[in-house]
Amino acid sequence: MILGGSAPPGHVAILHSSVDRGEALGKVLRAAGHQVTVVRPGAGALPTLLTASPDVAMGTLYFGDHALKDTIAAARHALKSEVPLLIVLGREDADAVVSADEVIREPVDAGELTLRVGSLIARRVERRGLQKKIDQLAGLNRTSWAFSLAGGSETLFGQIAKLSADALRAEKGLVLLYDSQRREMQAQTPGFGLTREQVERVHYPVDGEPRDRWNFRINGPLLSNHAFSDPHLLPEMIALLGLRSALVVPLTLGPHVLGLLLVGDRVGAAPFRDEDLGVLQAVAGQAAVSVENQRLHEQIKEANARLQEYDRMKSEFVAIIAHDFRSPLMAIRGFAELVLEDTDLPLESRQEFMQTIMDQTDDLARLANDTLLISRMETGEIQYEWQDVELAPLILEAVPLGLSRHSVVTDVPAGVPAIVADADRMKQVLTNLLSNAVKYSPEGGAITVRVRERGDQHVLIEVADQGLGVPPDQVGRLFQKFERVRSDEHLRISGTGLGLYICRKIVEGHGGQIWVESETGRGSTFSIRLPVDARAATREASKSNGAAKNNGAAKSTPA
Amino acid sequence: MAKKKILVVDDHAPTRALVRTILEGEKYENFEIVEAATGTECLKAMDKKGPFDLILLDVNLPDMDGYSVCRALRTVESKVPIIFVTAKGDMKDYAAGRAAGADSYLVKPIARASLRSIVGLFTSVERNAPKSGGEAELTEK
Repeated sequence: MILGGSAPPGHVAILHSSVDRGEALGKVLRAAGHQVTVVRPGAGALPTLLTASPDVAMGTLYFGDHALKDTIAAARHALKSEVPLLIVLGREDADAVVSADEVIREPVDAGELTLRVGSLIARRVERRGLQKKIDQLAGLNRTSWAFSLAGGSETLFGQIAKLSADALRAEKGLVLLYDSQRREMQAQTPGFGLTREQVERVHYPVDGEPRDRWNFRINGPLLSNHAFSDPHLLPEMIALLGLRSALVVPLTLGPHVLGLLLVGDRVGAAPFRDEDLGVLQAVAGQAAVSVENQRLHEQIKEANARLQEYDRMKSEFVAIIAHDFRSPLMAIRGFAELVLEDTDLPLESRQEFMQTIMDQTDDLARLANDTLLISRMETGEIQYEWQDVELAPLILEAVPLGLSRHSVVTDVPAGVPAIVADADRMKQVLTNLLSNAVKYSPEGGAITVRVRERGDQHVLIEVADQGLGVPPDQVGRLFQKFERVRSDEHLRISGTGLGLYICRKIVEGHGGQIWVESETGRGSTFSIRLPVDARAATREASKSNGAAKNNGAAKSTPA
Repeated sequence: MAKKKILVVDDHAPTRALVRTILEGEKYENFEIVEAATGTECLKAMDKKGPFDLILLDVNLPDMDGYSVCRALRTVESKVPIIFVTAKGDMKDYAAGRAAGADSYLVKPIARASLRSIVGLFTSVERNAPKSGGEAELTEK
């Protein structure tokens, strides 16, 4: 009898349709050292069974008025315990029984019976121990991991590594996470029982591996008591971590594999056993949830910081704008007061003052429009309306009226195709560039608008003036919000620093670039490179999301 | 009587024009207005076109803030009255103006009456040229 000596004794309930046969079986089991309760059919059967709370139940397919499996199911439910069931099959019960954990056929051999019952009891004892461990771990999870998010991800990884190692009485523990950008598995500091340096060096690519195979090399959980020579483990990794034995399970969240949980080297060099994988998997389930919570926590923190920054920028914007609104208002109020109160004001002065009031009102209206537009662009509310646009008439519409000291020359060859763009927004870009050209060439001069078709499905629009020009070191800054050329001559001329920012945003919204080339004192040339079909170009760009953001502002030479 | 010389510092041209119009239209006094659009221009004007009897200084200038301009002015000219022209929103910064060496402030929008009154007040006090060795009637902090 193989198991006779090693199987622990237990309590067996016998529910046999023949009480005599039941007593006979009980005698065999008592002889093997087990405690036996022979249950009699009838109303008292279930209460007897519950009082006994056996480690194993055995009996015939039918017991009393019921199928035995139903009686046992009721007992399992009442006892909240998975009591294993051994069915004794008579000659007439030809087929196997699915509801039983084991079956044994009549006539029952005493040796076989002792063996079967012994193995069921051994399994049950083991399962009980495992359940206890799992319960303990679940308790640990609830108490300690709930607090760990506030400590940041390092604290969390350290806790998981230590808890896993402790649960398996191992010397080393480590969390590895998949980095989707680098496409590699990366060990997370700190590990447990490992130096920071060791941990930091553990990372390996998982390219080409299916997501469920991000174990070191194998699919599913891995147990190895000879890690150095295990073909499933990466030898350089094992050497780096100095592992003699290892358990590895995936950290999964639903269908996603977040990473791996590893423990190694049992204390006293005892081997890992199969059931240890179950314990580690239980820990991994909790760990995965915590890791995910941690990630969400970080995300929320980041989003919050971004919002605060956005809020700060918004306040700053409002403060600057408020100031820019004030100056024209002051002038309007002041001159209106003069016109209103000075009854003997000469007609000439009166007209001059009213002209100033009108100009300032226009400035205010423009400022209000720009502010609104920027606000809408920054919140992503602007939708471009794509349509066919002929450039020559659009440019003519954008030329400021009433120029006396400036001449505007347009150079648009007949063959230049109509482009797909938002006509209103594009006109606004041209208006901004042209009014800048006028404003910043106070001595007057020629302003040239040149359009050229490029072979690569792009057109180039240039606006050149003979004005103050832009110092080379300020070229990049110019297209940022509120930035203006910092020179006395430029600052004498009033401006908000919004116009070129708006130009850049619109041009970029068309999938194009804008830049300036200039020589101080000799004028500036602002260039716009636009796709012939902005609708198609922006659709392409949003499709290939990873496309590098163009950096038109910083460019000083055309592509 | 010699014209009083006033330096108006503001980056907004119509505002400078308004101040000029109000003060030059004054029948009781004769003011000569010099304009500067930036802090740098202001310091240049101080150097080239001074001395002035009064300086009206905007707080928000495109190249440097008004307080820095004020401190810089005080290093070359300690006696000239400097009046900050501030928007209401800048009122909380007035202490900073005092600390920078300004004498008073004028709140925008510039009403004709208040501009005339404050300019009249400060220019009616005989300016003591630094070299004359006389006592300043405007006590300096």
